[in-house]
Amino acid sequence: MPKNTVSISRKKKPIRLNKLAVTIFFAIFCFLWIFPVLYLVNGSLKSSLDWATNPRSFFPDFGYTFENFKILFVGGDQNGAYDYGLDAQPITAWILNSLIASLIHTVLYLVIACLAAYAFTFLKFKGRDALFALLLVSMAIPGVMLTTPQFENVLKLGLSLNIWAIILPGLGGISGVYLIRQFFKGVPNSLVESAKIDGASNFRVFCQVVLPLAKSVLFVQGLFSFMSVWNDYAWAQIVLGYGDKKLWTLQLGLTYLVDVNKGQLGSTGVTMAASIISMLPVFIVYLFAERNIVEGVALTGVKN
Amino acid sequence: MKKPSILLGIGLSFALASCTPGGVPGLTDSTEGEQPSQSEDKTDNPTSSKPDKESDLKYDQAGNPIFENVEIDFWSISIGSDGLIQKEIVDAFNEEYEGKIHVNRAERRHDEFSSAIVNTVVNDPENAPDIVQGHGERIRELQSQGIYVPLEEAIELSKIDYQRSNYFENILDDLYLEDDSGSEHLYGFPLDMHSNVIIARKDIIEKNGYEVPTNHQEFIEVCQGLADKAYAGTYQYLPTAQTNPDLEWMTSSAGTELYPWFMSIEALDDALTYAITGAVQNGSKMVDERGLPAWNTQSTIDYFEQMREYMYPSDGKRPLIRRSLSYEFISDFYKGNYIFASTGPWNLTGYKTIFDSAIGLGQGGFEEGVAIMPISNLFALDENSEDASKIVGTAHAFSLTRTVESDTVKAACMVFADYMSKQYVKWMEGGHLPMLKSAMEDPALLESDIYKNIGQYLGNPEDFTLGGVTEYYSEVFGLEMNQGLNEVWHQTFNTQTQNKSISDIVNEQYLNSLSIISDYQ
Amino acid sequence: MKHGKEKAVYYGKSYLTALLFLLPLLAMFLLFFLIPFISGINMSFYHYNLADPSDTYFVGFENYKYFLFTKEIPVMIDGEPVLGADGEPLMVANNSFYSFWYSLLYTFLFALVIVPVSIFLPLLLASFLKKKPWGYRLWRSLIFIPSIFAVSATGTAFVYLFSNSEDGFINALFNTHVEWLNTPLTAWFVILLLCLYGIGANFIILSAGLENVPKSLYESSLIDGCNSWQKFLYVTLPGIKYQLSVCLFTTLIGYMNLYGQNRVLTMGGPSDFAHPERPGVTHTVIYVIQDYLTGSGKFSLMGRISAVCIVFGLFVAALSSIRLFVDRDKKGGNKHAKEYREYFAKKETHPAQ
Repeated sequence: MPKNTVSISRKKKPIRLNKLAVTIFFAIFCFLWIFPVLYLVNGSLKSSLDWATNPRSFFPDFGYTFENFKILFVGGDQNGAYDYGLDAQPITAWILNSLIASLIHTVLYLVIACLAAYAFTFLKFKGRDALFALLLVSMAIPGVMLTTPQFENVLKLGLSLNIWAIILPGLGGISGVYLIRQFFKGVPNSLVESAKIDGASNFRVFCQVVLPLAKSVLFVQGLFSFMSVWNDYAWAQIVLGYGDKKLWTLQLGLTYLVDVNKGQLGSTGVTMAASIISMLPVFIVYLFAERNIVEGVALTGVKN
Repeated sequence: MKKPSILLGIGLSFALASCTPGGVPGLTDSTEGEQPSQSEDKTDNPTSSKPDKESDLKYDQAGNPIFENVEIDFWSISIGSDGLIQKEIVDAFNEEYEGKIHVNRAERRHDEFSSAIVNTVVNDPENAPDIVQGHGERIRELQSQGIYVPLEEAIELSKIDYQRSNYFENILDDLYLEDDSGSEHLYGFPLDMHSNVIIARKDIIEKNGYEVPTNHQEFIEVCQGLADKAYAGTYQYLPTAQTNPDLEWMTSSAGTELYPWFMSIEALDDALTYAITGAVQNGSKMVDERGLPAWNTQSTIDYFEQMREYMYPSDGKRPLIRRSLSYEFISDFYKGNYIFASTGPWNLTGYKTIFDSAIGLGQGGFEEGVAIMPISNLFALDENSEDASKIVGTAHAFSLTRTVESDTVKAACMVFADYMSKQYVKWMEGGHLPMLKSAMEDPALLESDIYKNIGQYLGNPEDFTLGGVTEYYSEVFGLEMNQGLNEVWHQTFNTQTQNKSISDIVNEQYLNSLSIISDYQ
Repeated sequence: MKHGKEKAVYYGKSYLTALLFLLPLLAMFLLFFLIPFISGINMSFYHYNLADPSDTYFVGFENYKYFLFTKEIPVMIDGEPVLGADGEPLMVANNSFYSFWYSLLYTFLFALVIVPVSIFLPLLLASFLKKKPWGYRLWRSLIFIPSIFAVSATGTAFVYLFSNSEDGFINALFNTHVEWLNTPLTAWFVILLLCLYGIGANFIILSAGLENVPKSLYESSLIDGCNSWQKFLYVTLPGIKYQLSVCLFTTLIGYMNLYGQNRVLTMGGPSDFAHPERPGVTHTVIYVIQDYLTGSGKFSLMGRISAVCIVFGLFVAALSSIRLFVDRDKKGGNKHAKEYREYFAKKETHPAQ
């Protein structure tokens, strides 16, 4: 138990007892809660021999190994010549595709959404609020209504089996504009006005005054956008799923690995290792930006 | 007309386009030749895309086609271990034909194979494959949608030596399909045939005083004998070196429940083996001439009832089959907890390695301890029935997609297919029997290690059948989805449906198959 | 801004600027929202064959009628009805009809369970966390983290934990043989567990909401001698009403669109043994739609799929429009808190009351 945490209420004993009980509760709960992830980590470090001969035990009989990760990236033929469905190691391609798509989408969406949010917050023009309200209505229309025509749309634009098919369609979304606008509204109007009086153009105000203040919300929206593409499965399956494996995203590849390795001797570890790889990037980002992320998520629940 | 404005202008063309019903431009009509296919660019024959133009294929003086840097996109359904073997063969081909033909091989999983081909050929012809190697029984599905084209023209162009009589007609006949006009054409260039085999613990069977069975009666006799002996406490078995370092034979304690027959309910190959082959060996037809399911027969019902009896005996006998949802039988197989299991022959090399290196059987190893049995006769309740020796397997065959327009590419594809079909010695390492009759007499094959170790146990090529030709293969057999005959098999064993009679299950699933077929019309 | 000319110039210029700022968004919105939206509605009135334009024709409301009301269809092969034993055309259950209605039912029933759980559990955790246990940032992170992972990744763990075979971790641990993903109730249970992995956002939002409930309110309620239940009912709940509504609706809409979890875990199964015409018991509407869209040879059904999408979309939109009422009610919540404060203020001045 972390004793070094400073407790503010040392004097009050009942509260401290209370605190101890809650801490114990969280320790137990969080262990169970996070256990599936631990199970994945542990399983990904068990050799295929272990999985084949003793799938039941948690701990390995033959020791921990990075064999599964090696198989994923370098390829391997343990036990005969099975390659776990990893023809020519497309996992590197999957990771790259996912990364590229997620990053491009994030950057583009941030630019688009910030520009629009700026207009909806700081520019005065007739019909502004009506237009915004109209756009907001679109948020109530569920994405599923668009699935079929969006697929056709993407085909018509010549984007089939193209990474842009998963980058572009999300860019028309309004939720990010809404979130950023919420934040912009907190920026004192006087700052913007005084900059304008100094003769700065709107674009300069946008770049030099508003954006620097909005780092945290940009970060959060960026993470949301990133995750929406990185974690997407359903849409990617429709537009990329039927193409060559090398065009896939990591999530498509991962589900494929789970399916194809069902019933293959000792393949469990490889599948688990692939899952771990898909979790790593978001986990690392989280580690570095925990505070921002938590604050940002909380922001989505704040009324203007 | 809409009021022109800057904003609307951007999307107007799309808006109008998308509001007009009709296909996506460039989606269909590959004969229009709007999009030059990749391969043609590389053959330096840009004018070839119009079918009415002169052929782009030239011949040398000896009458052989000339290939110069022809690129072929090839999709293969062979993944996993036989995929690796195929890759080696393709590499060898590319080396042999360097400067002439180059094959780019990609893999497709079996359950997405058909949809991937339809999707690309229809939506994205530029990325569509030229030649695909799929399963023979599935060709009809795509042929009826106009995705595959007849091969006769391409064979003619390529000048390869193809004779219908050179191949095993029990499979080949099913690769000849009727087109819309009712004439018969070849849609799959024959490569191989394959099915699951049964592996058995020969050492345990013999130590307990039985012989490796060759038909259903013997098979059940051995299972029952071993299960009874285990329960009586006289069953002798040889556990693995892990728990039994000295490799001593042990005797079971009384009351031991032994399920000699491993059957995985979730494995697709097991469904093909036990459900489809089983029903066929008992004389049931799978499809009628319209392609609709025809397995709703009394012999199917009798067979499944008998199978249910083996798992949940009603007459006080010991159960022989354990309904397992795991695929991973092998560790229990080596421990002597299972005697028989069905497996794809392509797994055998892997099992042997694992087994010899990690578990070890002691005296004689895999070769002495394990018998590989073809599935002929094993499920025929009446051993004298006409179909008792039938093996419902699948065949690999090459098909051309409609996106290929260049004669050169067509010919090159056939040269490649012909080459592949002749690499049967190497290809047998994947557990595949050749379709070429002459191969089964070729000493190079008969004397190879792979034939001696595995090939000779795969079954008689003449016993193989595809089960039936139908464009509704998925709906009739339902291997990937839980429907059709596969679902009958599932429900036969499912504890939740134990009270449902087999004839009810068969009837229900028959109607369900029909309704899925009609739904897609 | 009353001088006419100045105003015109001001507006003229501001329109141009605003347009420049808004152009990218509006273009994308038009291209990837408005156009597909309209074209989808249009499509649903056609027999729409994406692969073959000549096979595309207007059918009016046929598509809607087909999956909403048509219970039985004749078996047709190449346009000819297949005759049954009695010489009449053979009629079979219409799979589309049953797929739609039953997947809608399953989606809805599951939402009835998962939505309260995904509000209540994080609320409970958040109120515990409010007691600031040691290492509370760690606990907060651990509870939140799984929700940022892709379902296909965390789902992998659940596939092997709750494997149907005896070799699965849970079965091996308790030495049971439960076919977790093969029995309707347990399959939904595992899906529920995997869904709970996504409560992270609700948890953070509610935590933040709880922190923001004014301390003074609690203090005054303490003085008033409220027990903890009353405190929760009269102070906490009104204080986080907006957060609750956010969580409630995002969760509800989110689970109406349930797809990943059942795709990874059960593939829509197990079958409904008593009713073969119905879809697998973990089919959700999105699962059915996705099945159509990724299957082979279904291009000819684009119109029908669009119709399914639209009907279901309207259903979801109706659900989310309820929020408008709730949010209007939200002001009442604030008012409620305000009244409460006033009530205490009064009470303090008139202790006799």
